[in-house]
Amino acid sequence: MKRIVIGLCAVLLIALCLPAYSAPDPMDTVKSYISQGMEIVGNKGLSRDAKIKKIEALYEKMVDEEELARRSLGRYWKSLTPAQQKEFIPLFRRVLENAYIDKILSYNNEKIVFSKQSRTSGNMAEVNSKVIMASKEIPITYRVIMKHGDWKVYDFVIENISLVQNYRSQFNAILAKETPAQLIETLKKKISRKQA
Amino acid sequence: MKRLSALCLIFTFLALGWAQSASGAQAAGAADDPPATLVAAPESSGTIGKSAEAGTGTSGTGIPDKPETIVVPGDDAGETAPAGDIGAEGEDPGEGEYGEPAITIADPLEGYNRVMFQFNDKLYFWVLKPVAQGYREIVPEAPRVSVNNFFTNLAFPIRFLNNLLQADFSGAVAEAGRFVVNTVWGIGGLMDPASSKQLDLPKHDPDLGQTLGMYGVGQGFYFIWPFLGPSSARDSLQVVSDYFLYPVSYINPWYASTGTRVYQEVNRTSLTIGDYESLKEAAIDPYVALRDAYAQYRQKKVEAAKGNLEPPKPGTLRIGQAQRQLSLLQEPTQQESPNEKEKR
Amino acid sequence: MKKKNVKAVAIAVILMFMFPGALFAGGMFGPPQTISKKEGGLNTGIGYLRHEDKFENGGTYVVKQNQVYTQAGYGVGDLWEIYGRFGMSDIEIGSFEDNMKNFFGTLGGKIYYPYSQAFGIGAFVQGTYFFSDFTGLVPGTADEIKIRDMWDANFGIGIQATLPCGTRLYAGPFVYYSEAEVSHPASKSTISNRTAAGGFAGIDMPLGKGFRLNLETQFSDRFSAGAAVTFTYF
Repeated sequence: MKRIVIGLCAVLLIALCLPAYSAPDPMDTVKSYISQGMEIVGNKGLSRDAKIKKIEALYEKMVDEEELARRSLGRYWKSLTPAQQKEFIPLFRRVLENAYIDKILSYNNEKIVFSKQSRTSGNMAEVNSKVIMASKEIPITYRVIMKHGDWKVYDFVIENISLVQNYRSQFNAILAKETPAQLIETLKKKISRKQA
Repeated sequence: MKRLSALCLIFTFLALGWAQSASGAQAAGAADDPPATLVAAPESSGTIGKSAEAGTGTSGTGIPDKPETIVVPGDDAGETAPAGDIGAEGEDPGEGEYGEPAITIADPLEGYNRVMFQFNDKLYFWVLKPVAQGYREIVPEAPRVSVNNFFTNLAFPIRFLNNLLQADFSGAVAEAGRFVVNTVWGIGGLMDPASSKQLDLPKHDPDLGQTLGMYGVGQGFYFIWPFLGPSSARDSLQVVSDYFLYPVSYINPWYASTGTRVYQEVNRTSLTIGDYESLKEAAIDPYVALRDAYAQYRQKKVEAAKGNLEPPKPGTLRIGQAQRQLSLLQEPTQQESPNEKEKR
Repeated sequence: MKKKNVKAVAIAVILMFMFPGALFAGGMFGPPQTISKKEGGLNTGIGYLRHEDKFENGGTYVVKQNQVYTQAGYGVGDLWEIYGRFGMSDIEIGSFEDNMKNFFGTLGGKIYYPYSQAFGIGAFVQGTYFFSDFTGLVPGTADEIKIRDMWDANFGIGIQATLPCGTRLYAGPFVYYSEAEVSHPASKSTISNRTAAGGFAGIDMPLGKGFRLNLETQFSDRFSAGAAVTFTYF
């Protein structure tokens, strides 16, 4: 009897401790993604297209795209039909990619320092980092949310400016006058213009 | 008569350009340069405009209220409602969901502002950028950085006075120290030894708009100056104040002073070509993107100023960040993570 | 009567140049080894020099000079350094001062051979040129005395010992040559001194955060002293 009780206690004790240990740490998660990204960019053996493909794959793992899209549309997310929502997410990703891929690919082993992380609520956290370049430092904060046991990024705050909020104000202004369908057309046009 | 008034207008704008761009010179040195603006990086601080959307009580002081939702802590609490089911979270429409405050700035003069935005945009692409590019071809980067340092150093009176006005005395001392070290041992301000690792005197960029914002003055509304770039009703005051505090304004004759200011701007632009283009490229509506970036940038600046005054109380984050007062377990600072096992 | 006064002053000035070490223009020599970082770097500083000299020729005249200057230098590998200075100086001869001021520029070069971590020997050459003139009125008259085209050249050798805390002690001999043109309404002449030789000694200590304090004295005919605060870029 005693042994069973002790055994149970031991198991309980371990079970209680386990979540704390097995729960990943936001900073570790983000760090690992970023260093993967750095590896891809720095890999001389890859062509530009191959690098882009890999970065896209990394992005899918790292970012909670639905969360990002939803917060960027804010209150207008509801006014999109589920089909439009499905269409919007990859379009938005293309816009971001077109805008930032050159900057990402031009990364040249600048030092990236992770300074601190803080829990902002039960399932959300912020990880602070800095990219140290020759002439200045750029603070980048990753906002992450816990989904299915993993931390995923839902916002990038670059030089104290939140990407989600910046797009939200733009989308709010657009959707105050246009329909969601028109917005999606605008996004498509913007993407195709970049290809040209 | 018409010619006279036109001339007066030009003079006024140029005069304002000195002041605004004086602070603009500092911006290039400041770590938090917002995504490019035209002539002057927005220096003035930003508080939240009293927009109708400020349902969560975001007043001019910029301190948001508690989050709308209470999220149950726990590992799988992140399981949010499926797409479309926003209402369950109970967030205020238009507000940052999950308690993130929306930083906005009122824009009653949007018609005018959009026109000015176009004007500044054309001015950049047709005049300023070509000149800066040509200049960049001829002059290598090191001297251009030195020139930028020189002008930044010269704007010391503006920063020093604003440090005092913000009752940031340690900042004022650091500022004075930077000025002396850079002027005496930095070859008249061309070099920046005060920023070197050994000395590491902290660099701040206080301006009048930030000072006013710290004391509770709201942004008023968004306003774009021709040549100078985005600003606001409150931040425009520093255009005047900076003119009187910036030494270059006192160069006689007037065309030497103006010429110096123009050169300063060309030099600064040559160091930041590409920032404005990136902003436009990333944006769906560049006008709104710039306005929002400006509002966020100024807001953060004022929060930083306030943060200096009020040290964080135990158990809460800085006042400068949202007061999310749930169980705030400040994770220990971890610089070196021994292993990165997950997600491989 | 007046002519006699002027002559007296003129002779005094001439004599002043004839005495070795009478003019210590251009600032201190500094330690033989550059204070710049090994890989090559900039260093800057400000310095102040107080020079006093006395000479006799039927009378006693005291020459005083206060110099303030700013300097910048570039040095590599503990081996060599070139530096330049720009400063202001005044001059006082006997009782004759009349607020004479002048600007000067200095250029110098050093080489150094580190025999060991703590010991080494170096050589330097330094030249100074005063851009404008010292001008003043003979007291009581409207006659103008001018000292113009003043320049000098120094060459010296120094040995240096470095203490564990980073402080450097150095000393050595130097030779010195100076020339100027003295003119007043009555006469005009080009003055140069005999080759002057002397010795110098100094201490250069780190103050922290890249700053260093350099104190130096020189002995030729009289004792002269200077101090400078320098900053090393890393």
